[in-house]
Amino acid sequence: MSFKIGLRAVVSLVLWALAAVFVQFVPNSEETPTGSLFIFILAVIAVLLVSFLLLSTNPEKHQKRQALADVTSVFAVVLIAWEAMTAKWRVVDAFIFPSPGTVFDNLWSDRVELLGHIAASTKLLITGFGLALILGVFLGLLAGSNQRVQDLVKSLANIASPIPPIVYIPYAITILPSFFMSSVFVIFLGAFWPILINTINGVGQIEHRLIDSARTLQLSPWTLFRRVLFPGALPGIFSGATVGLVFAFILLTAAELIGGTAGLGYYVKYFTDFGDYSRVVVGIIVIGFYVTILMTLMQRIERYCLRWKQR
Amino acid sequence: MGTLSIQDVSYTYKGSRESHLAVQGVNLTIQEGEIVCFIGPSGCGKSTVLNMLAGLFKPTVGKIEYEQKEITGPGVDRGVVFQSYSLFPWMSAQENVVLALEQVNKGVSKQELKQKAKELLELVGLDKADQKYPSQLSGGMQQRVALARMFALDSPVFLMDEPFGAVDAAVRATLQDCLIELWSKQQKKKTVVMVTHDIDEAILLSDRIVVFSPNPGRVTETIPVSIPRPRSRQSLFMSPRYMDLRAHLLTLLHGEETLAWEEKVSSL
Repeated sequence: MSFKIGLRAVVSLVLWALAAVFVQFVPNSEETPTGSLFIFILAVIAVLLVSFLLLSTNPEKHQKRQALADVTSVFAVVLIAWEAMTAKWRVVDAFIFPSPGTVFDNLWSDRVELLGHIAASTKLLITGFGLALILGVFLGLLAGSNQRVQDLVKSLANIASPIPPIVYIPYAITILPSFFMSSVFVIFLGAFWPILINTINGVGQIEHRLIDSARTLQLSPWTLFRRVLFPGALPGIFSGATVGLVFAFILLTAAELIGGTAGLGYYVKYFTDFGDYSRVVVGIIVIGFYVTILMTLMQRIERYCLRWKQR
Repeated sequence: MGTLSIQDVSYTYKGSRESHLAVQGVNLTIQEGEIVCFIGPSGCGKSTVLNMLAGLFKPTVGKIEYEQKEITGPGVDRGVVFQSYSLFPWMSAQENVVLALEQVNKGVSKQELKQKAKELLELVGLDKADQKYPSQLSGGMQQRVALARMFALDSPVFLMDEPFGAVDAAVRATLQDCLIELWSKQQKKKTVVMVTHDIDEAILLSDRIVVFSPNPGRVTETIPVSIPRPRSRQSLFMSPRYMDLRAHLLTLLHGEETLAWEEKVSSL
């Protein structure tokens, strides 16, 4: 076992080390905390080093390691530039452009509150997206196996789906009894159409010989639904669910920005109103991480459920 | 008796603009336990007739009876294997066989069915591949699983549409042996109808060969193959009876093609 971590990984580590030195040893132009930021960067370096070493033992993960090295290099450069323009040499206005140190400190001190907002957002997202997934897949499978239902659903989708669901938000808040219900409603609308259409297409893309094969086995309608149409349409369902999840998240944050009392969108809106831009940046960064984790999770589930497609 | 009887059957494909007469006036009776091969050039309607036997297509004219009852749709009394796409790609080899077993063994525990599926897969020589997905198996191995699934139904009739058409010659030979071995092991012999374009395969396997010709698809000749079983490939290919049969089939099939070609040329 040899630990050859590669040039690009070394570049990334060197850049992060530079960031650490820059943050800690170049004097600040103002009173901005850097102590915890320095520790944070050291932690990043430690995590990166371990990841590179782990990835280096597996030749198949070579490409993954390169990608990680490149992405983290870009992050290091952005961090250095940001620190230079704010805390070090104050090129930009301190009120609207907080330094990384301040942002990081606020992130740390708000961590418990942020977890609460994450929980609130997740609850809305899971309810709205979950409903869209269940109903979209069910109707999609039904429409996929019945031409008349399919024609009807497709015409309805052509009329209804191009309307950006964002425009429903203020009205939904007015007509529905609670903010929870109105945001679930718009999240549902955002995710529903792409899931429905892609499920119908997924059924359409099942090789017709497989349907014949199912017919010769005289499967009951329920078995046909569960063992043939559903798994056969899964590739389509997953592409719909991925697009649907993105829409759902956009609508979630939009709804929270407009009328929420909790959630990540609300957090950003609240501190924008107070002019606390360091916390606005905190909110944006947390949202970035949240979406990344969500999409990675989705990919993992997809890869597991479609493992039969890989050679 | 388990007789398949095709009575004056025609089939027309209805397109959006024009329809196409694929099969015209086919009459054929297939006895229980008989192996019959349909042979002929492409577009001769042999697969269409097989699909009608399976109940996937309904004859436009005439009717098909099995045990004196008209066939109105697919059923587990007729197992079907296609050239490809018979197996569900999202199920492992074992799950594919278990699904077929479930259809004909209602009320039997999952554990027993799994065990039975394993035995069937062993019979076709796939003892270690039961957890593999079809995409992880070669074309020949996939057809073995398809055979195992057909035998799982234990139906009295087997219908096969160019089952070995997509695999190379060496694999085809082992699959033919596999089929014949399984067929001869049964106490009550299965009726087998197989579509093929391989003359040697037809002679090796059939009791009767039904020759189709195109435009429109119809039966031109039915040839009994009176070579005793078991037939070994080596002795068969040397026997004069095989040579005669082969020559006859070649003229029948090749002759048709040359005729069609000459017509085309002269009409230019």
